[in-house]
Amino acid sequence: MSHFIQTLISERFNLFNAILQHIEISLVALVIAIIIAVPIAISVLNHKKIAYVITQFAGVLQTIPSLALLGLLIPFVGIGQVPAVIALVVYAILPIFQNTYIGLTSIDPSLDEAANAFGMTKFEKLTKVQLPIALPTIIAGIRQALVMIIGTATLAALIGAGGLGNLILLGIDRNDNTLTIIGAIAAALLAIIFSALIYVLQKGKLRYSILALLLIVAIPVGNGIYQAVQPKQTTITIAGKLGSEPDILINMYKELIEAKNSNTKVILKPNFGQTSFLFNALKAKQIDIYPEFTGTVLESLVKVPKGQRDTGISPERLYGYAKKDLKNQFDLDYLPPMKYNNTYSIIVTKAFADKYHLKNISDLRNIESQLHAGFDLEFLNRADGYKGLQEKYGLSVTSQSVDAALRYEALRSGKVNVIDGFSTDSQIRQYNFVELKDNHHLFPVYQGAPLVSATFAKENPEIVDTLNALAGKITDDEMREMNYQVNVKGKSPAVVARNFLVTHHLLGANEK
Amino acid sequence: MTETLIKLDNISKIYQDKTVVSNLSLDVQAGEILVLVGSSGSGKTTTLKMVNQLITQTEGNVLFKGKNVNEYKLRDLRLQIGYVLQQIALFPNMTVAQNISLIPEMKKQSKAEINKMVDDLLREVDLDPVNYRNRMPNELSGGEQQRIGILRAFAANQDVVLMDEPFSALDPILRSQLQVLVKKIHQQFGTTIIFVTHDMDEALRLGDRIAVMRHGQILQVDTPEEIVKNPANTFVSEMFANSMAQDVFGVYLSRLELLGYLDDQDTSTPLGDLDTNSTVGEAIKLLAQHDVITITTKNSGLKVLSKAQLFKFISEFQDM
Ligand SMILES: Nc1ncnc2c1ncn2[C@@H]1O[C@H](COP(=O)(O)OP(=O)(O)OP(=O)(O)O)[C@@H](O)[C@H]1O
Ligand SMILES: [Mg+2]
Repeated sequence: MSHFIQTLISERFNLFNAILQHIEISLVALVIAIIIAVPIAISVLNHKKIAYVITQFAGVLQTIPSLALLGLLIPFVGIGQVPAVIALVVYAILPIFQNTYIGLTSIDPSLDEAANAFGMTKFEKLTKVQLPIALPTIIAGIRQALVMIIGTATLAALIGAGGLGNLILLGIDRNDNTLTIIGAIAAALLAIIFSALIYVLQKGKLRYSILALLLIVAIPVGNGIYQAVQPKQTTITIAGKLGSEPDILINMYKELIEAKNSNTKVILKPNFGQTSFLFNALKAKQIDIYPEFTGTVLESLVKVPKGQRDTGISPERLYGYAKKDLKNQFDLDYLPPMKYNNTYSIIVTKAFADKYHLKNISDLRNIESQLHAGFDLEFLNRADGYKGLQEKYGLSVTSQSVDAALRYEALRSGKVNVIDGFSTDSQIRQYNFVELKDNHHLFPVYQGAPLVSATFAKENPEIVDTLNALAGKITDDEMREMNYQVNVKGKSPAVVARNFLVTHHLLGANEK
Repeated sequence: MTETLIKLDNISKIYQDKTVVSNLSLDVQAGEILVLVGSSGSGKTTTLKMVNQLITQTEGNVLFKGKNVNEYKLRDLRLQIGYVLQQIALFPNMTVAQNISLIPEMKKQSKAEINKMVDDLLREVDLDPVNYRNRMPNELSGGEQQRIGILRAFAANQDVVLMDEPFSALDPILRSQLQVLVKKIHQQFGTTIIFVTHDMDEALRLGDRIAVMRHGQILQVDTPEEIVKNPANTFVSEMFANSMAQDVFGVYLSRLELLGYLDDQDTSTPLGDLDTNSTVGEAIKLLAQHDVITITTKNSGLKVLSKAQLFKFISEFQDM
């Protein structure tokens, strides 16, 4: 419980921002859905067949899994809030349309006859009789849609739209259940509160409800307009993948760029999503820069000629291949990488290493019989994972599969005495574990470097220069330490990034 | 009663190949209550709705104030014609006052004027404005609802009010109360009323003239007296059996008056307090103690009913 409260306190700004984003996405989607669904329902009132077709169609849309729908939208509208809102609107249309249609068509026909007999125009009949009578049913549909929207909007984080999904994903990434639970509870509370709010508004006068809704929507829209008409500084958008490491890196980029280029403003989009989302966003020029690993480039982004995949190639050559392929295949510029290599590593406790004088992975062969390994399932099955260990190091140990999230705990408690992990994982620093050197070069190299479009690089040479200040900097230890500061100590990535830059004289202490 | 307000000129209504009204002609005089009476399915509602064009005739013309209804804008036409439904159909989202002021508001009468009129009308039907103004329809009894339904139709001072079996869902006591109310309002405003019913007794009580319908045609249009005394054919006389009065005890004394069973006699001391809205059953009770009782009639003051005349009516009732 105390951990829960601690997390709540240390993440309060994140939580607050996530809630605001979540509300914004949800309400904008809701209002758009209402604006679409209600008029359609009204216009098909006397066309039973068309109404039936629309209901069926909206029903089919609703069966598309939300992730698939988000994926389908990316080629057309890219990533970020736009596809998220579109997807939510698609889901919200059915309940609103259906309830509006049912509410309006189930009105007692004698009321319709009375309204006609009194000489009401269609519009008068609609506004004075039909809509007011159907209102409770329509509102019920809107509430249903809203609850669904708020729930589904947590998925928007996957395509960089932010919101409470960010906390949930971050929790999963940091293996911090508390964060995930906070995100989930906040989403559930939002749904309940807004559902109740609509109920209250419904009891009040219609015009006040409409006013309130408009106001809520006007805020983000107004904000957008304000941003648009603001005197245009050069703004650069930098995004990062999920997790503390990319978050720290992009904060460094921001600090450096804004310190050296006074007229430039950097907008950060941390925890923006997975590799493919970021890569597509960069190609679509929705973002300008994001840090990417050399290994990831060669493995999943470019079409790699055979031969490059061979393990044991030097990091320099690997980066050279990645840079060339990115330029040729996508017209992107891949700036020089930093020093640290965030790849698989083999980890033991300090006591264990001392006892058997372990430095390199090959040292393990001497104590093969004493080893009891806990490996992540993926590592167990990868050619450059355990299989590679067997081939390149001739190592064969009793091993069991341990969930990635639980490996460090298993090692700490002594259930196993050797595990796989990633070189910059903060737990290595947290528990003072020892990472064995990959002296036979089994693991692929994963060096981080800024990825930008070739045009951006050409038009902004000073930015490229600024970023290159980080080339060859930041060791594994340093990265690990920074991850530890953020993940375990709960410091903000911005502070950690700035501290690093200042202590390493990349940034003057007073500079900003 | 000379000016023709509404003229149905040889109208027919044909659905697919089913003729529900055929070659019907009827003049409605300004200021009269004309009752359309006929059995179920005879085309009363269809005929009524052709007046305000809720149903358009297949053939023939409908004239309102001498002008063909299709020369009017539909809204203008309907704003001059009130409408009372059997289902009452008060708008459930509006208060009593809002329901009543609906049409005056559509006619752009002033707010103050409307408010005062709503209060006056509510008092007219014995509903205290303070208590009833802001109630919702579902907070009213069936009888109260239909009173508001009637007020709503009359509120805008319509030239004519159409009423389609407005009381047939109400119990007999409420029905006769509301019949009295319609008479009262009619006398006060002089509004022309076309009133549809399949209850001959109701027709006799309300109608200045009665049009008897069957199979989409009018068999006879006449004053109640003529209809009772000289039915045009057996169907018209059979219509009396269609009365809401299930047996002879429920028959209104007005029918006995029309048929000539009440006698003139100069009695200065009235006996009993019956009038033509009382029933045969009530008369029998009183006649058990007296040989002759007095009846207050609408048009010709005090009349008397004797045991002998009553027995005569009852014995002939079976054959009517
Ligand atoms: N839309 C329609 N299509 C086909 N036939 C119809 C339609 N409306 C009414 N009818 C038929 O026309 C005939 C007359 O109907 P109408 O409603 O005028 O009768 P009514 O005299 O008012 O009867 P009731 O006393 O039962 O109300 C009925 O046989 C009815 O079935
Ligand atoms: Mg009818």
